Amino acid sequence: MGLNPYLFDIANIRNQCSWVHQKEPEKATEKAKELVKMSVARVRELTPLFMKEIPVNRDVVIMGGGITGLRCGIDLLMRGFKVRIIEKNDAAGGLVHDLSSIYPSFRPGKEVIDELVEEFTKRNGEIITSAELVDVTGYVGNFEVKLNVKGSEREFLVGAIVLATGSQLYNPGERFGYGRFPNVITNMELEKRIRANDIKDVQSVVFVQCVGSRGDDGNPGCSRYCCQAAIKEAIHLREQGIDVTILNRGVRVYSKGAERMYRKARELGVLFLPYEGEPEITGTGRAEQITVPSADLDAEISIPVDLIILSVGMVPAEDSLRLSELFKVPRGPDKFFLERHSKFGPVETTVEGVFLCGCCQFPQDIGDSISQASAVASKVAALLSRDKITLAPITSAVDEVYCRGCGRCAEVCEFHAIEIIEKEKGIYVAQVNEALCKGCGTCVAACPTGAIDLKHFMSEQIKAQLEALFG
Amino acid sequence: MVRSKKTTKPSHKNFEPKIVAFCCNWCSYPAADGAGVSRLQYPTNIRIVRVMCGGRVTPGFVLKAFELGADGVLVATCHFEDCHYMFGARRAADVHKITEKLAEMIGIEKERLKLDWISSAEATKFAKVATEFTEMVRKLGPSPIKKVATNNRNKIREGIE
Repeated sequence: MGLNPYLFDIANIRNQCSWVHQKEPEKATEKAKELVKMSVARVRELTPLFMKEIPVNRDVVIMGGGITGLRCGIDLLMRGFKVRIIEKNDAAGGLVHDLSSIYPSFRPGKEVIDELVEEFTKRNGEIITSAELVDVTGYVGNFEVKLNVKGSEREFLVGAIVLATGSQLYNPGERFGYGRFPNVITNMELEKRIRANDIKDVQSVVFVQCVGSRGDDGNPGCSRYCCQAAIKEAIHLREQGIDVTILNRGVRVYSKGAERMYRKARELGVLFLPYEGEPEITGTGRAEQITVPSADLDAEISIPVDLIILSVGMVPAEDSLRLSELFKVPRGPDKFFLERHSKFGPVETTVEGVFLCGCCQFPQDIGDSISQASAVASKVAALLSRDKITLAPITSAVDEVYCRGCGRCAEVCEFHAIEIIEKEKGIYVAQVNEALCKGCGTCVAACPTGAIDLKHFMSEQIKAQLEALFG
Repeated sequence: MVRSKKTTKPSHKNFEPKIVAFCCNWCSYPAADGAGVSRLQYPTNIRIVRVMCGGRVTPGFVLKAFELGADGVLVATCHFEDCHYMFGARRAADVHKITEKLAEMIGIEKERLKLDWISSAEATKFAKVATEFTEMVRKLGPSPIKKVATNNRNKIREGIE
């Protein structure tokens, strides 16, 4: 076996001494001697530590049966994992199910969803519908999920959790005459009408973009799907000879193939009109005219309308706060779930074993959500294809003799690795969950009694280094 | 009447301060390594103590360093937004405020304490911070509590012997 790796230390003389003090060899030598002294003093205080192995449950649970969850589920089933999808509604499908068509293929949303559901079930995946999450406990490789399915409880163990809970569409309330005028509808309602072939006696349609997005009420950022969806819908309407105007605050068509779609819309004669401020909608009984301050001209523009479409943004799902508390996954300033790192951990969360994909993280279109779903599937597979998960032994440890159970350590630990337990009647102590502890040692700096210490970077070890330096 | 007052300002020209730098394992320590790889030169006065996270640096560590004879203490962490432990760098900043207050109470100028944020890619910043901080402490002269601390230590030692 050789020497325990935690009995080893490096006096960093090359990078942090000789290379950085090339012109002062005498002083550098003195410094090197001190660095060695410090390192020796540290090593004298070190104790052997051992990696801990924990077993891994190979099952996966996906929260949300929208297109993202289904795709991720199929990818995981193809790799041989057991997958359950938890869907709060009575059927899988999410927002995509209701779309008349999806760009750039222009296939009906329902058809795409049905195909995915069929493949998911064919591969023996289980979709638990009308299910509500009650509780989640445990840690990576060993999560315990508790559900309420139509009034009855259900529990199972999983190794990894995928959050694909999606988002919801912004509710315009009473703005823009919504609810007051029957011919002011949201883009989702338009999709339903297109599906039902229920657009009659309409000569002029006006889309209002960025309703509930980009600094408007709702989502502070761009909702990323609405420009492209509006263009798709506009093409459909224009092809039936209807006049279409898209009031926009800058058209954002960034998806693959979307530029072509945009150009097609322009060729067909769809008008794109940049606007500023709040459009004013007038009419008696129904919206008859929309007036907006133009962004380009020093004038207001009035357009007679038969139908006004509000392209509503995406906002975090209603239950995202509750889910964030249950899974201990933080939310960003925009209230969407926060990834571990925007570049180095884009589909992971700070909770090991809990992953994110689709619109619960930030608004995105179907293509982007699918890419993320597949990315998560490979991340989960990489995690769960191991027999055992090894835990680094650098964790905090509590000396119960000195601990008075005040809970300062638990307060500062955002990994929720510390719990205050009642050891004996009336005696409270902190307890570290080594599977959740990441070994930063922040709790040590918060402890008022010195009861908690970080293994391998213990106070005595660091003190020994300092004493050797000045000794 | 103009009174010429001759001030005998101690000359610190030849004074070589001893500075302890607590560097976090993920950002500032690799930045110091990077400075070496790029052969960036800075004064020899800094001695690096590696910790996993800047948030692990207790006020006790910093004060201990001063007690033992440090002339300056640097705590270097990740930037807030890319802290390896998410909240560690922020905690380090909170703790640093407490440390500053404690240091002030025992007569250590707050300029002798420094908290900085150096990512693993900022080797140049590390060298710059190391240089500027060394020069700052050199200007301040030896730590005011160094003498007291050394005397006390010697007394304790004598007592034992």
